[in-house]
Amino acid sequence: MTVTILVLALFSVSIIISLNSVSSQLLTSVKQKVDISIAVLPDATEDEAKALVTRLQSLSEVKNATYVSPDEALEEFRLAHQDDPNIQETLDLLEDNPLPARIQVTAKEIDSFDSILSYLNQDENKNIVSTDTSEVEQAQLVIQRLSSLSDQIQKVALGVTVIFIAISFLVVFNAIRIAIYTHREEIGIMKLVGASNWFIRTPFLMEGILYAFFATIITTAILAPVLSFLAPHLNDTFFLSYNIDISQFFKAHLWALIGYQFLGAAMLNMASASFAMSRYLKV
Amino acid sequence: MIEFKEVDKFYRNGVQALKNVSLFIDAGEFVSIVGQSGTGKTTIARLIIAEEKPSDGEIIIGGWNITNIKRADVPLLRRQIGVVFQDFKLLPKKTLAENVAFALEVAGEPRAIIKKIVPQVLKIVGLENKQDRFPNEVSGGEQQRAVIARSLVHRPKILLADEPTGNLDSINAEELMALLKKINDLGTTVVLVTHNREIVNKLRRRVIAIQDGKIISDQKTGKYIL
Repeated sequence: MTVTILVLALFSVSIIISLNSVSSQLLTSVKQKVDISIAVLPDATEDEAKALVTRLQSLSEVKNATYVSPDEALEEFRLAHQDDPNIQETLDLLEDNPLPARIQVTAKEIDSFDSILSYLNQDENKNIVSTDTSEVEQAQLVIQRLSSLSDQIQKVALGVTVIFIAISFLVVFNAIRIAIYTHREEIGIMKLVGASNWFIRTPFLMEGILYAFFATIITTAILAPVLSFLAPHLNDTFFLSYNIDISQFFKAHLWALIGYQFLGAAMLNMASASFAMSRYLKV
Repeated sequence: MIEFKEVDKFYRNGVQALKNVSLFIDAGEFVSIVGQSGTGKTTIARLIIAEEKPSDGEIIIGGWNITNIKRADVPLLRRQIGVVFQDFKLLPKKTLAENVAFALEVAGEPRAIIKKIVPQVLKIVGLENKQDRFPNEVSGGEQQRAVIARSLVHRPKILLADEPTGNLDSINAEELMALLKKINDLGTTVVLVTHNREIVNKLRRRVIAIQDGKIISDQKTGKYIL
């Protein structure tokens, strides 16, 4: 029973810690992947646009900048909507290419876009590209929401962890208390014949460590197949563009997770056992 | 060897078990502490083995002031005092020899020493032929003798017996007393806490009488006169 409660606690905490870690990775990944399209103004020439691209690439905030010609933009658009016959038909009917040239800018960090946009608003640049900030604002909104979600996950994780720690503490406390009661005759004799306090205490501390050991083994044995089962669904739904695999994360950090689980559970159990002994063993 | 200096003992419920008790027991003495039930005899026994602490006064055992003894030091004190109680306190799933050996195991004695000492003490108490029996396979008197054997393994300077004959018939009680006298003759201080009038009167040794938590008499070769 004690081990079951510990397994539940460790399982929940491990899932939450994994999710928390993955959401942090996702957030970092999203921040790094955000790029924006800046439309080249109709009056700007291709040479001017390409010169601007060169200048942008020299900025420390810019990871990459590419010029996309109107023809290339049209080709990309056709490819992105190749399954939509209405759009294809409409494009065929148009005589002129409706799409402008653009400059694709990838910043090193989402927060760099403000300074990039300020650069684009300078006199030498503002006649070449449109500095519509709506796309940047949208990207920043996405980041903000992810950040907020990550914070909420952390808060929930903390709350759930605290609850499970409290429950586990009480369960182990009760188990040790019962063990002390069951062995009270033997303990009384040990005290009488001069057994050292640590001789009397050690078996109960070892009991706590054993609970932690078995709980860790069982939790890992359950967690591995569960994550393997869930990973494809989560990866395809949430993490596809970001190369994050929750199952891979688990495998890559397996020994660390086992170590932290065992250490955490063992320390909790020893604290609980010590408390029970101080109340009922009086050694 | 054992000295109580103006010791008072109050329990949590406010009951005063001992009132200004002062006594001195020299090394090698055989002393009976007598009195009716509830007069404080067992409290004295508990204070000697530091199961309780005095509310006031001082207790000195073998030159060691144990009045405010630390919990970590209590096991060391108890290895110097052999204790025999009325209810035997033998582990039912261990043989007599294993019960005796247990006292050495908990003190961390090596196996070789345990193998040497256990037969010796069982011989002293006359149980050398019954060492492989379990407690429920021997008589009450033999169980109590096994307890005495266990209390002797650390070669204690003091043997404290609290109502050791309480669960024994008169013949076994007499045999037990003979054994305690034999142990005393070997140099161990024996403190016998009892309300058994017959035993005390036969012993003709020092008798300290307690009534209402106070010592009312202390006679070198006394009788149980209460």
